Amino acid sequence: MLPTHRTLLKVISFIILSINCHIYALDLHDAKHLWSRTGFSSTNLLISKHKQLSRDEAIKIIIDAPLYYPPEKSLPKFNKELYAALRSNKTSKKEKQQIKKKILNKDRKNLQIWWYQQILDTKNPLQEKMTVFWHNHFTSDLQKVFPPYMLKQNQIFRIHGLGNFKKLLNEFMHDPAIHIYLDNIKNKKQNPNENLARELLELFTLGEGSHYSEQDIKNIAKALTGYRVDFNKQKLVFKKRQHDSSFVKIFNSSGSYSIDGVLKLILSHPMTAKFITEKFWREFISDKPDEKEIERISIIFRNSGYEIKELISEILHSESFWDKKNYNTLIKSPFDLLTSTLHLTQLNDSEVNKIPLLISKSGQKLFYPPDVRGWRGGIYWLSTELIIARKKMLRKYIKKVINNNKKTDPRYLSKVVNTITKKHQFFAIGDTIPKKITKPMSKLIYLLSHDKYNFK
Amino acid sequence: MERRSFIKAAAYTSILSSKISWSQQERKNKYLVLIELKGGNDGLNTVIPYSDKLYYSKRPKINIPPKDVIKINSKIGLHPSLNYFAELYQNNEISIIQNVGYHKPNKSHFASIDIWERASRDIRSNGWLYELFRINNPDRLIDSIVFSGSTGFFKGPKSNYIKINSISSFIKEAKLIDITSTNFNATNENQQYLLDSNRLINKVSTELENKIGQTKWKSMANKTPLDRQLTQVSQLMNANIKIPVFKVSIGGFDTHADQGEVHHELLNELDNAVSSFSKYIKKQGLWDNTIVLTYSEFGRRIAENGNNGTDHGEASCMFCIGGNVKGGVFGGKVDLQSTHKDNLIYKVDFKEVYSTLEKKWFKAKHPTLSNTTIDFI
Repeated sequence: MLPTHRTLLKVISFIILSINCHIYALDLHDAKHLWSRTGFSSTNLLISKHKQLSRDEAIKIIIDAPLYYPPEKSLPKFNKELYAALRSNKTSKKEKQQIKKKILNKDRKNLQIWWYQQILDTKNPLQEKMTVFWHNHFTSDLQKVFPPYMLKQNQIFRIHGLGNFKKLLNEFMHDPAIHIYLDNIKNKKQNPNENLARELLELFTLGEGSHYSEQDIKNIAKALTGYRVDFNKQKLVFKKRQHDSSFVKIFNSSGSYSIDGVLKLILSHPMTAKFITEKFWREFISDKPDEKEIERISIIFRNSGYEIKELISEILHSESFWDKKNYNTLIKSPFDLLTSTLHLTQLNDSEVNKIPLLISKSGQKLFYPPDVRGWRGGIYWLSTELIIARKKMLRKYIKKVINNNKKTDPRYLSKVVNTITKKHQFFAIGDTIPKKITKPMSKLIYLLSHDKYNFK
Repeated sequence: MERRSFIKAAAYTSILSSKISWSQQERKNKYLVLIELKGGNDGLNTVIPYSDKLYYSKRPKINIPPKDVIKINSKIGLHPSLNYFAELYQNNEISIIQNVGYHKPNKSHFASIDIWERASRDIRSNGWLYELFRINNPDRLIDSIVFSGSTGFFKGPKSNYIKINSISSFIKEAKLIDITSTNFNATNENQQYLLDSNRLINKVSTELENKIGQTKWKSMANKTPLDRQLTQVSQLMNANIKIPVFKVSIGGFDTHADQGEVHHELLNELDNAVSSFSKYIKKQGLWDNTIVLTYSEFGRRIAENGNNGTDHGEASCMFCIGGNVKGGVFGGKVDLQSTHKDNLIYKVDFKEVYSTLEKKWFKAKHPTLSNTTIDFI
């Protein structure tokens, strides 16, 4: 049993003792649905204790779980001087290449492994899921942005990803990574670069469409001029002389703007809440958005002052979320697929350093989204080549489990597998395991190679 | 649900002819082989305007000297690596299309290749070939085998292509997809999509195995990656497989620094691979059934940069190769004088090339593009 579970057990027992409410008690399928959409593990206590919990109680447990902060000493260490030298004009090309050779690939790898370790260690799975969600929304790429900056951005997603969207957007836009990734550090008064301005509207806030004009983009690009990165302090700085402070019109408001002004206008635009709500809908409910419901929820989200927990709570309480026809429709991302498998089999700390590669072969290399739009998700995870890659990924993992099992106590695996399949045979695939399959390992293989295992 | 999809699966026409027929009259299949030059090929060092002094003054370090250029007329010539291409040119078996690009070019690799493959700026629209074949040949099981590179041409709501690295390992690995043991009743569209894709993998791999499972593959050991891909394509074509498009790619064209050597080797790999591919399919009588088309997300800046390389540019050239092409140079002269921020201005929209293929090559009843056609086929 993971420590997470023990803590949760206490919380749950407390709730069960204090509230005696079984009206909307979850059945096994409901519990599996709720937990697989909001966490990694299907074999969670929530499931074994589901009968004592109502929907409201279960949702409350998930949303009110305390935030997890990675221990300071776990954070990857980067050589500040060398990274500053990489960005300095005083360093020769040859020296830069040597520095890169020495640190870059190693640091990139360590950062990936570090994130995966957090995903396994976290006591708040929803929080880490949201970190991946925001990474795929506010994309940046480790190929272009150096590791120290990607780590900083990642921490913003972790700390504010379940907090307030206004705050999250502000922190993200005042952080160096996105300015490096989308060339905004080259955006100057004399020669504006529209890259960040365009994606800020199209991908990060309003969504593509007719809610803004090309002129809005041009004018926002002007407002975003003058931001540079101090590579010694690893901070975003504002160079007033390179900033275009001329009067411009952005969505019918006129003025002289900088980042803060632009974000205020964006946040007062009703499309922002709608666009974000729709993205949450696709993440938590289904890939078929319901316009009316999204409109309703987005108003609640906006009126709450953009509280992300309010949004999630509204989503999880919605009729659509509990509509049986939406169960087992979402396709697990490779990250979701493997992580839930690790939690399911509870052999999660074995060779964590190999996991990023394993996942990337199925099409999702964390920190390396395919482009600024991020992973498309949905049925794109099920292209013919990726279907085979996913099977191979789970195969490899099963083999690892077998090897591990040989090295350690062989009875351990039987115990784990029997727990999964006996008590929780429903969770992983929403189905039962045929009686003729009796050996623990065969059960595990059956479970993991079942097509339904791709869905949540 | 299961029954319906079974009927649907049964309605698919076979991708392979049921009888092997080696006579040339029977070989009516038309093939399009797409070669993606990944990274943005430097068109100006591929088809070289060797008579233009501006070319040499803009590229003092990375130019191809006139003596090395394989001259094809008094104005332009081919890169010294492209010996076989020059031979094709003599026989009117290659059409060189210059100044190809599109309006308001995007200089990002991914965004630009996306635009090329969707033939649209709308990121939600389907791939060009997906649209073309779903409208014109809706019953065909798959339209393409993609060996490498992006798959944007075939993006759409239903899987209509297979992406594989090697045919033999695909046949082997496809057995991981056991459609009988984990067959279940799909309760929603996404589950149905997976089941359909599984069936697709199963069906295609079975048919490939039946048809070419016994094929003794030429040794791939000493082959370049592109050669390996094209060799497999030629063997599939030789097995009379009714898949109209094969897609291969070669990477490394993003030559920002020290491009001379790199570009030389890349074009060499291209020339050699196309050479052995063409010679083989000529022997098999497939030359007239085949068009090979090269494309790249963009060309490169006219002037070299400070690192003996070139940065992302705009218009560039395309090659169209086969027994049925007109041969010659199309798309007008390369103009180094009137430029757009030191980039070649496009004179041919790439959609005109596509439109030509739709109408003149595939003879599509319902073309998806309304652009004018060019005379290169």
